[in-house]
Amino acid sequence: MEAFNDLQQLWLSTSVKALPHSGELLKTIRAHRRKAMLTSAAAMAFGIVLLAVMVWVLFAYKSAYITTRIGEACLLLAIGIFLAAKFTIFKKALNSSSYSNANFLKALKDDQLSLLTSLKRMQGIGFAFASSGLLLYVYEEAAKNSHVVLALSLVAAWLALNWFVVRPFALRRRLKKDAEAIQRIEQIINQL
Amino acid sequence: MKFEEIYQQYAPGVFRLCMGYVNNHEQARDLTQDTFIAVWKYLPSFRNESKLSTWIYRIASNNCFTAVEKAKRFVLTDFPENLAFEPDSSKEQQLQFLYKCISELPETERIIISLVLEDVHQEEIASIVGLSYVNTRMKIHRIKEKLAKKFKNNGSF
Repeated sequence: MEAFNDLQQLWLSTSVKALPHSGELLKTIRAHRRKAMLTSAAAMAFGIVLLAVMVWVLFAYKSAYITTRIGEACLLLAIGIFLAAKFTIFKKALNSSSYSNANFLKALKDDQLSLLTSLKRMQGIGFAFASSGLLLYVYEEAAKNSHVVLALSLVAAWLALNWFVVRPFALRRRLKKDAEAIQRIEQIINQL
Repeated sequence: MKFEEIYQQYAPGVFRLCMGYVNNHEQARDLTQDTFIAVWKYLPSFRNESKLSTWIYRIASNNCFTAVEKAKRFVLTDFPENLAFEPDSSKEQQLQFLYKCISELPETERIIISLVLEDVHQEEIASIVGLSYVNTRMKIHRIKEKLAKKFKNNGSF
């Protein structure tokens, strides 16, 4: 296979001058790491602060209505779901580095498919808890101020906007992106 | 082994592998960079279950496969049978022709032949891509034939 040896020599003659120096790369890596950690920490911190505020409200605010307590519990559950989802994604990313290409692609496809179903389900459950929690929570305060209908209508309108406009739009965009990724992964799996 | 040493030793090979996949210097450099970001990130969890080179090439090829956004810009066509080629062209043109031929292969074949050209053992390639040794050998043989024939037909070797 002399001709192939020539091809190999040709291949190895590729200029690698364009590659950054290891020091430069380390700088990029540190910046990348800082950014990734900040984004992840910010999302987790937001969830934890929200959880702490809700727990504080639970003890500090002496509600007279049982609906307020149920509302608080619903909101706590919604925050719990948000934090659990974030943690699951983080854990999966950590375990994905040692597969062979074929296993990695299969795991990636399975993950993406399960993410689609669980994303829809988790978002639905989380949003249902958050919405009913918020409505029940504001009910007591609104009832005391004799603006119960107006306050509840405003909250309900805001929730409806999120549920019927924002959520379907975000979900459609996500589904489209994931469907493209799955299609591409399948195409590569079929070659193996 | 220090990260700097790993980078010095494997970055050229990873860069050529990515070049074989994308046939574009800038994208290959970005993919190489992404690979070593992942290597740096996961190096503490590397448990020597495979060779370091196997692990790095695995990350690099997975990175290539999953670069979906970038992939949209790569045009995948069938391997051309009659590509124009100047018999007395320079080495650089021959190299470009080699990359062009490789980039027109299906994605997994691009990775496999790039690893062969990097002189990675066939058992290691099988372990990287996740195919059986026999299947990998067969694929390598076919791709080699395709490439050699292409170069011969065009009067290069």
